[in-house]
Amino acid sequence: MKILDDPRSSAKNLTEALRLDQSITSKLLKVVNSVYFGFPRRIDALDQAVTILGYRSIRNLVMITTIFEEMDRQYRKTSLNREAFWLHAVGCGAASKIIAQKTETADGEEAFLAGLLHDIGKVFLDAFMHEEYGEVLKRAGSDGLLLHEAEKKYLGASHAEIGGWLADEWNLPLNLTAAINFHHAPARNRDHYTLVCLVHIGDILAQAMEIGSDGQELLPPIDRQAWASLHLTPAFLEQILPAIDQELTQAQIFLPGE
Amino acid sequence: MFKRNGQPAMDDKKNMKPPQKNSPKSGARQAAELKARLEERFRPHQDDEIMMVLKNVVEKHLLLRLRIPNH
Repeated sequence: MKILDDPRSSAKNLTEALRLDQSITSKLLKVVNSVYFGFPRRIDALDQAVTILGYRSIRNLVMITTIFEEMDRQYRKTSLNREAFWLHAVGCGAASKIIAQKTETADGEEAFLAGLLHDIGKVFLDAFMHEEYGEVLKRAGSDGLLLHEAEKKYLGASHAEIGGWLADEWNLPLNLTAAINFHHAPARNRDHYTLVCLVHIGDILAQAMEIGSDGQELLPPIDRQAWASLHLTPAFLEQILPAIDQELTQAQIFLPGE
Repeated sequence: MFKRNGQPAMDDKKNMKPPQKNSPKSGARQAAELKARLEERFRPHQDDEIMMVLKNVVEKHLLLRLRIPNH
């Protein structure tokens, strides 16, 4: 993560570091050769992948692969339906990316990455406060609360806040940290407002479209200002839902264990 | 088509199956279940214009995804 975050590190540094981790390398090459990228020729070597995709895309891919695979592998104890949870994460990534691209408000890959990681705090809570978190999931349902409200009420912090703290600890870029931290309260962050709004709406769209499950049955409301800031309309929404489904089909390669 | 998991009503395997050929009731039942599920999930947002737009668009999309004509 240090190499990824260091502005002085080069593609060569990254390739050398990656070579030391066989599992990341093989997953990375699998993703690069998937329909998500759709390259006509097979890419067999890391340096070839870095040359073709560029440092930034590879950095993003490494970030996803490392976080997803490690979180899923290390923290198996779970109250969340983990398979459905990861699918929701990919769904949010796909929705955020499509909105970003169609509205031309942000870089699609950046929005995808932010969407993928938005609920990472839930995995942490589920792993380290397993029993308490299982209780919170139940109570959110019985109290009629949104999950982040129930977490705040019973644990003192929401998954968004915990995720923001984690992202900060991992030295993730500030825009990703903001998207993770404020995806339930976009108005509270102005520095990376557009990305936060994209993930806020991508999250709710993925839930409404029944793409996986983020652990709650209630739908959070869409923030009016976030909707307005992206100039969304009913016609636009109708147009993007099939595109989100298509993106999701291709992006399933990012699911842990795929 | 990709896999989907975790929604309460989707746990019922019957809800995951596409409508059988020559079985219009099957499609009608799936449509009714989908509408009821969305009705329930969007109930707290009945006075929210944006959420009602979302509900209508998503309902139309999910019916199309299941290849069910809008009942």
